[in-house]
Amino acid sequence: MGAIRPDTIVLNWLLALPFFAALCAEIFPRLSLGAHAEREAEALRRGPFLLGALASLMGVGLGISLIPQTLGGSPVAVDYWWTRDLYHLRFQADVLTAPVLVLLCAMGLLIHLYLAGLPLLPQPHHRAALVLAAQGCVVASCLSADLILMCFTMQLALICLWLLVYLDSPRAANTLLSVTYIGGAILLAGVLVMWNRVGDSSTSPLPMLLVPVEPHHLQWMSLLVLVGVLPLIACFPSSGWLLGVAEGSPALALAPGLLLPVAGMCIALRLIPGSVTLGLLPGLGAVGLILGAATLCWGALRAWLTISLRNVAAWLTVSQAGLFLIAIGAAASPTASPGLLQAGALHTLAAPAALLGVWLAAGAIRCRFGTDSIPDLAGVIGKAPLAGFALLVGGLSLAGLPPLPGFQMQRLLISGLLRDHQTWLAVVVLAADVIVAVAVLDTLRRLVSGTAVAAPRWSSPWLSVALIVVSIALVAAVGASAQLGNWSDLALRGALSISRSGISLPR
Amino acid sequence: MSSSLTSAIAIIAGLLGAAFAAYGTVRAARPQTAALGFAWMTLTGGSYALLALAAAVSAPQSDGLRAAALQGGAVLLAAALGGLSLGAGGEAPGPGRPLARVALFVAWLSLLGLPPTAGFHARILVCRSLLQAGWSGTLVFALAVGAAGLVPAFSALSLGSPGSLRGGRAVLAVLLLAALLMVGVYPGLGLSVGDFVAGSH
Repeated sequence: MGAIRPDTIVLNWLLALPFFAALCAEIFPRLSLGAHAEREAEALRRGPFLLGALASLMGVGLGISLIPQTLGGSPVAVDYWWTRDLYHLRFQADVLTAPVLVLLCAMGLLIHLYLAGLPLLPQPHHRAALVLAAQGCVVASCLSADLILMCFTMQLALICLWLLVYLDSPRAANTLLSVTYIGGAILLAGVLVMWNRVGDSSTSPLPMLLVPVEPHHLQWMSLLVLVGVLPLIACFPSSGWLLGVAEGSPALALAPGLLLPVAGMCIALRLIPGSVTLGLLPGLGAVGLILGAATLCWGALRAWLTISLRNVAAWLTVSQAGLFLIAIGAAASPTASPGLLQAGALHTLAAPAALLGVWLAAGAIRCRFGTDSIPDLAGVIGKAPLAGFALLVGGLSLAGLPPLPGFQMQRLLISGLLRDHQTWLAVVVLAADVIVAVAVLDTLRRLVSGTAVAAPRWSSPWLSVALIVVSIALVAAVGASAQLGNWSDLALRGALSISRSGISLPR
Repeated sequence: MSSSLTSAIAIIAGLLGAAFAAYGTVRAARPQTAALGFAWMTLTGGSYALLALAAAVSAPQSDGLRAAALQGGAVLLAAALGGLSLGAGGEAPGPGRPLARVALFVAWLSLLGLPPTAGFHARILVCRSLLQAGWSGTLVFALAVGAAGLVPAFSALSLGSPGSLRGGRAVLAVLLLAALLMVGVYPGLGLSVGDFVAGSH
């Protein structure tokens, strides 16, 4: 435990490079433009994003390298050498660590590749640094064993994402920060109530909540946490920020629209079932089920009815927040099957990967053809087949069609609901799945049929690489689909074990 | 001092703190200049320290005194940093302008109680002391006022950026910036000062 790994040091240095580049660009704004010809300066603009992609790739490698150790059941501490004294920023590399690291760093990698593919993006150094910082903070927030540090890094990620969006759309950025900050404050209130109940003498705060604490206190704590994460996962009625951010361009929404839901779902999974027994919280379950069903149906319907690709992606993201809430809410029933929580854990990992495909496809088409209005994009799939494939695979995974990864989650969820005699809820989930599938296929039909009206403006190898990677990853998951049930069990145990081995709070 | 007098003092201090916090935030939300908005938010930050003191009077075993010391220190640092940046004046571009912008931004973050600044830990301790004193309603109020504080921050950002910081002012700004961030990243430093203040009483 506690050994400094060489790959983490290299990763840290790579992470630092875009920040140095941003600092230099801030202090010497005309240096690169003055020292190089215009074409060279244009080529250099991609540099920070490629550095960010490289750093993220190292993160993916780190996550993959942890898999054998964590699967073997021996926890590994990944110490970040410069943060040894910062609270207890230790990632207790339990089984959750590897998938979370791989997922978030892979997302960061593809976001950087996507941004590198955009033409004439101003302030590239700042964007690369902010995406990396947000990505790092979300990783820390998902895996930190310290409650206050979890809130600290969560809010820091919000600041980074706010600054990132602010570069293009101050209004959307302000909405994003306002809504998510309120959620963060409510989450913090829940954490403070936990802290206050546990007291200073405890070195393991979360397990203490399992010993007799009045049920109404547990109810309140969990309710505060649940309400606090709603804006992060873009759940109805707090999903307005995602649509506002997507209004400008899918490029703007890519980082906040993907990173924040992962963080929110991971935190919810760790703080609610990780700290209290869900079976004690029937009220919480009811709130989760009502909000989840409303969000799922509303998101799916709006995704079907919208006429712009960015809104298809945004509403599909909203609908997935609903599915997660249904899994958590249904798991709060005293007679719930353990498969429901497994479904929540698998959803935390599988849904963002599928959403990444949808967002990347929407962004690639928007960049290539200059519009994302579906009627104007009739027949463009012939010119952008990769984007179409990524949209198809990602969308159908969200709809829970076999043998894509989303199917395994839906199988666990629906069988759990049926076992718990919540047939009506299973019917709602299936109906929403049908609507999501129809929305995706109808969008594709409109993009395939007709003669191409929009002419391609430019093509980017980086975007193609990003689309190929995400498509292959989703299809590769098909091969592993039989193992996904086991993976969800491992991820769930990881989430719970990290929560239940909490480290002391600052005195 | 009788317990009824103590609780009366605590209630009056708490009410004053809450009133100042609300008034400062409302006034800051409609500033004519960026400096005025910042000044009103500094008052709001100070009133959080008053709330923590009230909690300390009401429940001496709480973290109120430590929270008040840390919050007071964070507000003072932020006020000095913001004052330096806003005092740079003018819109003239120069090598020190990014520093002034960063300094003002960090000062705002600290006043809002956001990471990675000292204000975050101070705000957490203030909230915690309110909870320990059994003032859940005041905690909700403090969190709501904290969220409302975003409005003046957004207005101030839209009002333009500060001028350049040069020479001794730049050095001082760097020191203050480092102090705010160091206490934010290594909260043990700030908590030790808070402990010292609380211990001396």
